[in-house]
Amino acid sequence: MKILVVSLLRLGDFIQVTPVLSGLSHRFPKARIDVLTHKPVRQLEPMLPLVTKWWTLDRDELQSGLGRAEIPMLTSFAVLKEQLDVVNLENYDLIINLTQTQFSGWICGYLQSQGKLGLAFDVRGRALFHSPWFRYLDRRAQIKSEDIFNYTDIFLQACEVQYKSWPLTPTFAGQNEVKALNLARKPTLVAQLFTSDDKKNWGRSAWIEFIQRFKAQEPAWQVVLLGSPQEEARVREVARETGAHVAILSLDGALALLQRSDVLVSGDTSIKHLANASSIRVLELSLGSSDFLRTGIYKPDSLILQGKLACAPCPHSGACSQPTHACAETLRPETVALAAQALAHADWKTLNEQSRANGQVTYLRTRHLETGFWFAADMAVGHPLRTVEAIVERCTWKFLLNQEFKRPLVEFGSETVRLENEIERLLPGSSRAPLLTHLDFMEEETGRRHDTAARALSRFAREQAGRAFDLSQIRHQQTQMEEDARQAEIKVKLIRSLKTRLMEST
Amino acid sequence: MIETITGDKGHKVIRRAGRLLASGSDPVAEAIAWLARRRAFLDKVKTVFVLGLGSGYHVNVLLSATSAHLVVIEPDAALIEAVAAIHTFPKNRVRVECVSNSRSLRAAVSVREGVKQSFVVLAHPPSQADRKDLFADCAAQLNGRDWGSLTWQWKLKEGQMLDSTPRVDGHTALTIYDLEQTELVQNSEERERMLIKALRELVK
Repeated sequence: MKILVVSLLRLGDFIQVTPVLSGLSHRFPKARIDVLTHKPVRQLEPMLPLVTKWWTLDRDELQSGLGRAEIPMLTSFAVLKEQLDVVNLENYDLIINLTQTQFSGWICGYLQSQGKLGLAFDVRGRALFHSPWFRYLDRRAQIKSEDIFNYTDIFLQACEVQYKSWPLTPTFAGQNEVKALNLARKPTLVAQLFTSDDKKNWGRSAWIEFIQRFKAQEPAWQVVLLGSPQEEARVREVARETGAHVAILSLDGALALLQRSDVLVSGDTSIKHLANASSIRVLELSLGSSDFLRTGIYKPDSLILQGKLACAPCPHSGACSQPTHACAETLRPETVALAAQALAHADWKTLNEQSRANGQVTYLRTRHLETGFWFAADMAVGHPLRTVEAIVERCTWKFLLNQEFKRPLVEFGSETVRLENEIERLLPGSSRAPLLTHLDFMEEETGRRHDTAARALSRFAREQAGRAFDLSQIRHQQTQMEEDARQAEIKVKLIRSLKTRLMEST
Repeated sequence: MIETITGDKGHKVIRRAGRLLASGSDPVAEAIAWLARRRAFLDKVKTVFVLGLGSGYHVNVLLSATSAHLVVIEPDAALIEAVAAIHTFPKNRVRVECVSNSRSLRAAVSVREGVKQSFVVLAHPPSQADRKDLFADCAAQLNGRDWGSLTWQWKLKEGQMLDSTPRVDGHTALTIYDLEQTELVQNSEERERMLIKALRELVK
């Protein structure tokens, strides 16, 4: 079997989907897995032996070919066509598009295979998703909502594979890069100073103060400033002010460094995603357009810090809406240094205390729920009931998008056992009485929503009968309404099952 | 008048009507510098059109830099003969077309074959000084950024009959948006249209 995985976003986005490759290789042990990516992602090739063949598109070149007058009008078209025609000669059994963009949709529409998963346009321009999970991603990805899944989870669910591992390993060349740094064998904190987006940057002076404070707090530790060759000058500036070590490394070398270090402090970068392939503890600074709910550090027991600001996360495009870079200013260096120190010693009790004491910053601890999803738990636990709502909502979506309702025996019972275990882990020792009261409220509210949705669906069906309207539009509306009604129905059943379980165990 | 002179480092260089067609001191270094500014698509296209034969050093450098076929457009037959005495280009890789006008350019078999697949056009300014209009016209034909040249190229690719009435003002440089809207794309294979739409996403 030959599988082609298409990921036409940036480096960090590709790293985020590598667990899917691992999951696919477990599900289809004899399959050959190839990838189609943008050119800069190819630097991962030596670190990802799971992939047999790398196809790359040079997006920048294609783009410039369209705009520059001295390049023939049809060159980009001809080059793209010739490249994709060669890909088509491979006769893939399955093409999986893990990019949710129109560009990738057209590319995947052009590519031919026995089966497809993910967005692909047909010749008429109709978007085909091939999975409810991808349709969900398309509809909800743009909404600033709190109930969105981490993208890694969406892709794992859509491909019907389980999370196994991050299949990235450094090569000897990467390890040699790190050896050449001659770092001492002592506890190491790695700081990734810069991101690709100014809005996500913490700021030079904040980093300098943080490093100075951390070194004073933990004199036995060494601090290493990680950067790419393009960042070298700026990294060395900070190193001069702080006395920290400098590590200008390739991606291969960066992974080798992460694997022999203890803590990483980073913004939303590809280095952060790379850290998932190591045992390093991660402190993520969620700034600017960083959307931790969707792209947060996936490893469990990582820490995410985000300022409590209404504008977070801000849109990717467009300047900061605030007069100053408020999200960065809210994450004060002393706060981050204390958090890093606690994380360095896996001192979650202290981090709990810090989170309760700090009214300006949200502290989130990442977890993998028994129900199969990534979750960032607010450590202040100011709203335990909201936490319960969030995980019930996730389970509801899982049942809906996996179309569990079509099975004769839907496993509400097993799921509620997992839900109960999860509630106990997230909210240890919390009283059941308020929880049960809130579940009553949720059941009533959701039940009303279900009744409203069912009535609206019935009325819609009556009104459309006999009308000569655009059938596809009607079908689309009807599908939407059916989904709303079904979602409410599933949620009510989950809540009832959970209530029964909690009452029995009280 | 064509002369072959020996440069400072012993390289043979062509001089035409008193003008050197390559550096007298180091034509190889000059050719390498010329190519360094023109690397787009070189590793991907099937054909590279070179406008102007010069003293041939840029063609040699190109041969090492790409596996594409090279089609050199040069109107001066005497120059072609003089360069042949300096360089022996592999016949299976390099074709020199003696072209005196755009009509003969369009008629040349190697040009027609090259246009059917992916190609880029590289101009060699030292060779073009004496025939600016011709080379400008050739560049326009090959770059395809006006209706007439574009339909000529598309017709070669697709082999279909197309409208001869321009859909776009003749003085406006075409863009990918125009390409999608014109009938020449609407009449093409549906799958090719998908690629045009994909490319359009890159310039949004």
